[in-house]
Amino acid sequence: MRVKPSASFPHPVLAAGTGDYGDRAFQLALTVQEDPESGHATLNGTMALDDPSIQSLLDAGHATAGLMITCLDTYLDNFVRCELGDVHIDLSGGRVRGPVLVRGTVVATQDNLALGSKWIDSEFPGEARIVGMGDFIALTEELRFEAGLEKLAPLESIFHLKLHEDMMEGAFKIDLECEAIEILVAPSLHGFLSLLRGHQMKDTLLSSLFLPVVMSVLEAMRSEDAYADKRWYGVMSARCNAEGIDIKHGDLADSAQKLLDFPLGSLQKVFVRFSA
Amino acid sequence: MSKLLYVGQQIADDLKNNIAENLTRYKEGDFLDLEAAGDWRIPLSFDADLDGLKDLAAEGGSENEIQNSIIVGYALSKLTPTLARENRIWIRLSHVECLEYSRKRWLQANMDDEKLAKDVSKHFFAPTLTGCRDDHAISRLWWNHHIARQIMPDNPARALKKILALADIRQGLVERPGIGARPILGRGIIRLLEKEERLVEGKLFGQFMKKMNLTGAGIAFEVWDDSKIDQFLEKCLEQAEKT
Repeated sequence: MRVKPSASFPHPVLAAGTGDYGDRAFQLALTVQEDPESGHATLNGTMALDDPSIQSLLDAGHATAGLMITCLDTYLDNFVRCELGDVHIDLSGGRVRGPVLVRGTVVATQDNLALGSKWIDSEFPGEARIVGMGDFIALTEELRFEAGLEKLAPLESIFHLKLHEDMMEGAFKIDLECEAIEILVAPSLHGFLSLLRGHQMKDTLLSSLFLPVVMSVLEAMRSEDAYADKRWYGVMSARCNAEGIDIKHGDLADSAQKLLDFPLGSLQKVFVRFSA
Repeated sequence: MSKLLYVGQQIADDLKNNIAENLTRYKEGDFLDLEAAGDWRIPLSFDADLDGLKDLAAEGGSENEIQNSIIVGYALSKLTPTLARENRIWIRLSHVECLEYSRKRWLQANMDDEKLAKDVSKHFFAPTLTGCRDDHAISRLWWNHHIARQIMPDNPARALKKILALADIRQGLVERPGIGARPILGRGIIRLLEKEERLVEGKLFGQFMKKMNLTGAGIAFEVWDDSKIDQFLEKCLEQAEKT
């Protein structure tokens, strides 16, 4: 299951941002090891909590710790019980693809459980400190990673330079209606760009051609989902998720530079090389 | 048994980009000449029982949908959820092994070309999560079976009978993964559907799902036992009947 970061509860919950438990913290740190070719993924890390009262509920078996793992794309929505401390979760066997969300939690396993931590904010009256079976006692921040091969697809694989007789010389346009993004150019420019792509100076294309193209593409993805069934859209989405880029709200220039690995740096290197 | 095959990326792109040019093939022809000549036969590492797919029944109706889901589920039982999101596997199946079924099930002979092209795009390609899970001629059947197996691993047919009994139920369970993907809740709903026949009458199932969403928000049902789940769901049903 997924608890939205904006969710609020009638009882105190130890989580970043609630302030219900003062400065107490519940933290999950994970590294992801993935072999996208074979569909194997494992999560390793630690889950730690510094409220002794909640720890004692766990020790007594009145609560359980676990991870909520959600992958909408593969219909995976699991609650995996695990103890605090070292965490090792095996997601192998082709169970994840696309965005995967992981959140640590402590959940009450009995009804009428009193929360007795001295850190609970005094504004909670006594009756609000009683929780039932299945109620959340503590939540870590939600971690997110992108599983699968799409994020590894080279960006070149979704661009297609296409000769177009009606284009003005020196100009280009993009067409997003096909499975790959078509960059339409006039015949002589097409010839020049094709030549340049095989030349040592090909990296100059990243900032002169691909940077504005990627910005336009991101803008189109932001404004509507009409292109969601195009292959290029899937690859771009996966790349953005893997880079932590917010398609809807991120700055277009920042996002495009990140996706192209900061192309002005490549441009600078080309000029340094040719000036030497 | 034979290796499950998928098409190359360029083939997948070309087919999607050229649906209009291939309409006659979709209406009454096939793709065997293209299949023999191009990059249509990339093997996966495991076998599939593709002969079983010949038994798919092209007439609609929940009984056929249930049986078809079981057929596809068994034929492609080694497919993982990760691979089952791969468009190129489903493109191969709907254009070669299951072309006849896909055409009869989802295309109508008297359709105008524009509508036909739209339906081909919807039912012969599976580029997105919803396209794959709900629309593609074959992949939707695999996902039906997978979701049923996730809910009732020992008896997916039992879950399928209820999930596919009504479009509203599939929509409520499968197309709302926040509920349907949680096996403990899915199993409870199947038990309730088996016990309370009135749940499928009118719009009650939709109301029930709404109540469950609302009342169950913020509860980790995974620590509950079956009897507590059943009590909760029955209470949601009572509340839904009052609305």
